[in-house]
Amino acid sequence: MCPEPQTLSAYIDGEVSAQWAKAIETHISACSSCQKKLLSLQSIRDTLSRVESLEYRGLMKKVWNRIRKYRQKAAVSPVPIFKRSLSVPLPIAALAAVLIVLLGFSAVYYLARGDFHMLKLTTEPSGIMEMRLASPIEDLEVILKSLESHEFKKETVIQLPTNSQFFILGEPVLIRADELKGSYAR
Amino acid sequence: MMKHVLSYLFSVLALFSASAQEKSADYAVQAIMDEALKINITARILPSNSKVELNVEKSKLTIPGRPVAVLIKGENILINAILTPYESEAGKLTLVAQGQIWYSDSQAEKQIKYLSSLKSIPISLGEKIFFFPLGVQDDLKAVDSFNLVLEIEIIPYKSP
Repeated sequence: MCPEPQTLSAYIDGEVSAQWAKAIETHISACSSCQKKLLSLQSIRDTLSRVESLEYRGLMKKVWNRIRKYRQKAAVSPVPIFKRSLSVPLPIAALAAVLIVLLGFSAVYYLARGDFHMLKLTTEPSGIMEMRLASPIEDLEVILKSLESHEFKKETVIQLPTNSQFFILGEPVLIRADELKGSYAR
Repeated sequence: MMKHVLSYLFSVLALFSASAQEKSADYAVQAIMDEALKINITARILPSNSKVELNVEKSKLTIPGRPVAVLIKGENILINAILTPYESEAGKLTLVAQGQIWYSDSQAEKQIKYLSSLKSIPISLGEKIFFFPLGVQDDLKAVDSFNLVLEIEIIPYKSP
């Protein structure tokens, strides 16, 4: 029975025990097929050992020199941000473009609508009250404060006349002008 | 080639987006201006010929849903009137008036009393409303007493 190619390879490399080496030698001397295999393996081994001995240091030096030059160039003159290129896959770029266009149009549409309200309360027949807020309240506060600062004082404080005592007359009353005349003016 | 086309497309989109954002901001400001309300508040003592006189006019800007607070300070009393207009339909509002009162019955009395109330009324833009935070006497013309009243008028704010 012929030995496996791995066993022959180990035999060439001297990695089998002396007892096995002797048995393999005996077999090879009588087997022409194994002799051919052995020759082939030896040929491969010789070729590889020749390649290992090739001078590659010069090639490596060239590569390192090129890397060094590139680094030096990058350090001296970095690429301006506007000249840098960005590689984006076409489907993603197309999707982004479509989204931007849709967002732009929807923003313009919502802001240009005739019935646009910043805040609106509506009461349904069932009694449920709905509140619609069209913008973050923080933004509105900033704008309103800005508007107020131009024309009006920020604090609304009314000072009552001095040396006068005010007392509670009853429940607070909120009333229209015409109802006031009818109810209280005797 | 494709790279140049894409960069051109993105440049055009960026310009369009910047322009749209600018217009959006303009629209937002304009929308606020359109919605903005001016609340004119006049504090008076009724009847007008009473011993105590008061005639103070104040104005505040707001939008529907945003409260406006008026602080009224007296020797024995502090009133915080919070007025909130809500838009119910075009040209119609619901005014909610919350009154918070801290008062003492006499200077000698150190005890401070607190009263809170909430009233609402449907109104039209430009309509005059009277708010009596301390209540009102049956006869407003009686000169022997006085009634503190806030005359409230809500009108649309017109941008200058």
